[in-house]
Amino acid sequence: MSWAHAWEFVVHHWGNLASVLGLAVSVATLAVASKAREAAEAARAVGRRQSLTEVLQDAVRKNEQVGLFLAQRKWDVVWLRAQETANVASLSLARWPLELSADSKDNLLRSQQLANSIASVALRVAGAAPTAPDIERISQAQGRVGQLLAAELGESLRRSEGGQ
Amino acid sequence: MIIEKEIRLVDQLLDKTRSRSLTWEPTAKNDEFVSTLAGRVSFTVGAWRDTETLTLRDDFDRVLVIVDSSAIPRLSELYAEARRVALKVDESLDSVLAQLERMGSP
Repeated sequence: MSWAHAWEFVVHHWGNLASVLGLAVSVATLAVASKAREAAEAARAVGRRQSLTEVLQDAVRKNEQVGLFLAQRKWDVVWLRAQETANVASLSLARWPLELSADSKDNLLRSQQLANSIASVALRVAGAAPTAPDIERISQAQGRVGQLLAAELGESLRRSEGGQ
Repeated sequence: MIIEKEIRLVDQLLDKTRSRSLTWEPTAKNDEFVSTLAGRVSFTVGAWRDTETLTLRDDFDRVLVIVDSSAIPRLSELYAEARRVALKVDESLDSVLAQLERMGSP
């Protein structure tokens, strides 16, 4: 086909050619938009996972402070930090239901209940001398909360770093 | 008013605890043990004087159900079984028995 024939073809079918070109541009735009949406969703998921990790780090720190103030017999601070630890567990369960597996939710729920029990005992013993078994039970519960939260923090960090 | 569902709940918890499908652990309170199910609800069993109590809470820590052994006598069995699991009584007994057997007879 010569240039003259090609030019003649374009002149006679410019409408069809423009439609085909428009369709191609639309398809390309759609593909780019889909990729952009996927990238945005992935970035959001990474952000949410990062937020969960930070909240769990905060919970681990608060629980460590429960242990510290338990050793110093500062019951009002033990009560406060245990309440905060329980609240962080509740918050995590409510805010990240999709990011957490059933096992992780179980661990957080147990942490919540154990931290609440620590707060409850700390409140009871604040005005009186606690017994040795009271202190032993609080200490064991605090240690268990630490184990559960550390396991969840590790899992969250692993996923943040790209593990499945 | 105790309805049939609460009785079934206690029966199911007792069965699952006996089969060790459900694990319990001690809380900071004396004679109180906690378990969870699928990250959605928690169960707490405790003893106060001669009465055992079961509390069911949701993940927002809202109390959904409270029943006691005066209304559901099998709750006493659940408490005893949960305590056995939480305090690892069987493991301790196995260890003690093995140690005693190793000592032999005089």
